[in-house]
Amino acid sequence: MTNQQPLLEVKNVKKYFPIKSGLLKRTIGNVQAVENVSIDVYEGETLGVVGESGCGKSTFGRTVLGLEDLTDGSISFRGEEIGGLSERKLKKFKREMQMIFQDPYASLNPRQRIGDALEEAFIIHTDLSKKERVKRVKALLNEVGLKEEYYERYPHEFSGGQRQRIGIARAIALNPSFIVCDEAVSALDVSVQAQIIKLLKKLQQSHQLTYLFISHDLGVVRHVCDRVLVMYLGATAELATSDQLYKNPLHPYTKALLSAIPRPIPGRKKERIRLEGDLPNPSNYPKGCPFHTRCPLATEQCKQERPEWREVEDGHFVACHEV
Amino acid sequence: MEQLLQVNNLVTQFRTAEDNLTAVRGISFSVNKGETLCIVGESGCGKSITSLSLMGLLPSNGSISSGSIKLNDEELTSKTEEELRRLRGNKMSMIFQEPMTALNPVFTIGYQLREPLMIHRNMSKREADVKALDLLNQVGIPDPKKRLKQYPHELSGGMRQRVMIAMALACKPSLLIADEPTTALDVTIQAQILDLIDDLKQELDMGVIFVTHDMGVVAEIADRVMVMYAGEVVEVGEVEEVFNAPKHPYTKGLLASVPNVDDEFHQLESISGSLPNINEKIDGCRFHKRCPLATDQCREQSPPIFSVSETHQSKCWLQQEVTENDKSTATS
Repeated sequence: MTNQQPLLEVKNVKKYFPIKSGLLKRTIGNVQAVENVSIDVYEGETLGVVGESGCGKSTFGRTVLGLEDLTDGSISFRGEEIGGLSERKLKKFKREMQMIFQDPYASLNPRQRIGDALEEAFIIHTDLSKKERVKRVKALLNEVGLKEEYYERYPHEFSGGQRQRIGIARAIALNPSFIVCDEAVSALDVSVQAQIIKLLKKLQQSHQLTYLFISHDLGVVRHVCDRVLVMYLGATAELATSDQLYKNPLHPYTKALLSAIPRPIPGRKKERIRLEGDLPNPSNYPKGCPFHTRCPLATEQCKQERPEWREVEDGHFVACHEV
Repeated sequence: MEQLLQVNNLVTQFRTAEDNLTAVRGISFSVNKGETLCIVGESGCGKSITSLSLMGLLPSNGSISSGSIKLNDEELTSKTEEELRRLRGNKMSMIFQEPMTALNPVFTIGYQLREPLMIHRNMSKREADVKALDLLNQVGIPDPKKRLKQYPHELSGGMRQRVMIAMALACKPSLLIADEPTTALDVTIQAQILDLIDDLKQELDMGVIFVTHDMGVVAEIADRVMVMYAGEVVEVGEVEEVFNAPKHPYTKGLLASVPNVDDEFHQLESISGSLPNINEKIDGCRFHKRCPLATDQCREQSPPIFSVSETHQSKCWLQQEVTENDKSTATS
């Protein structure tokens, strides 16, 4: 997988949100939501992005899709630069790149029938006739495991799992090649969650999809992803294949994160690495390593110098002075 | 162990324009002092309504239609609103999922912490202030003096949940009900909060009812587990019994659908279908439509509760055979 051309190349991407204050609304600082992220995403893989809330993983996903302006850096899709493109030029890429949200209910119009909502993609991006569009929508419903009769129904008539199926149908409507799943299964009960994971895996096979799978649930990520990127405070902490990451985590943050997951095995001896405190505020970005304020191994060097992003073994990247 | 809470045949109903909806269907359970009982199940199975029924905090169209709730041998269902108010925050307390909606945004943390102490313990403002500082220290909040003067929006999620816990524990309740207290938190913060609740439980010898849908959390903190499905208790037992040898097909399904972090070859199973609608009439076992093992008997008759062991019960017809076989071998 490593010697092929990446589908998506992200280089030194930064996304800052300005903080404005005073009468003249001058910028007095920045929220550094995404801080210098570089990563390649390969065709057909599922890349997991994990981290605590506020670590910038969602903003990263939105930035990749062009839903947020880039502050700095470049993003190219199939070798073509898409960072900073105008809305009009971006349209052709939008067919290729889609998103599945955590709560599809929030993104569905409560007064619009499901069929009509799904049809919209075809109206905007294709010149199919009404009859053909309806046919396509019904085929889509079938594909995600919903009944054709649901065409006539409204969003409130569906359960959480069914709504997520609708969200997925909408994302795959135009046969995209790349989908960002932002906490796509987090709001679901475990039994339903397993159904949706199975559906996502099936669709990946049949449509040759590449997923950027953003989640805070490390159990799900292990199950779904080929490679995993750990983010902390907008920066990349560690990147490895799922196997490497779960068996041999190197970054102290990854270790703490993995040890904190409650395992469904009663009586297991707890060997938790306790992290003190909370995520620092990204508007007041710490100097040196972003993790040094909570890191059990932090040294003087960590407080001063930002660790570089280096490859320590084949395909295993980490940003830490102490590794 | 001393029994703290005894619930018998609790039925909770909601009045709507068309019909009376039954959310909790005659459940019975007990909690001992110093014990953590976890209630698990999918959303909509009645676990939150059960805890709200215990606290007497049901929405205005909901009511307990029959059954009894005894806390320290005191019947709660016959108490007036005023009597219940004297118990809440005093003998029994509750922590909610989203502390931001449970804390009042226009009062300082200090004010909200002093309130239960001044009401239930008749403390003066100054005494309560000292105690509040104590409580914040106890739940591990750094720089507590400063926090007392701050408002809820100035704190992070984990910090707010700590304040909620401090408030709930202010009067040393004998029963703590925690309804998904860590669901909105990150794993590292969740670990901190779980440890905290466990430590405080031992310190105060409290009974804890912990409502969650996360099987990992259950395994960490529960002494006993109660699995609910569509308003009924389908299985209850000590945590090792239920996790290592689940008897009800629903419990088995729930456990199999949890992704395993430590096992890359773990096959994820899902339970087909979804929870039935609350007003749906179901003959026989309420789980039979989703059950892979359902027989004609399951479709026609609702199963009674069978005992697997002294502490372990399951509400499933399949258990009957096992139980009867055991009996026949025992008698022969």
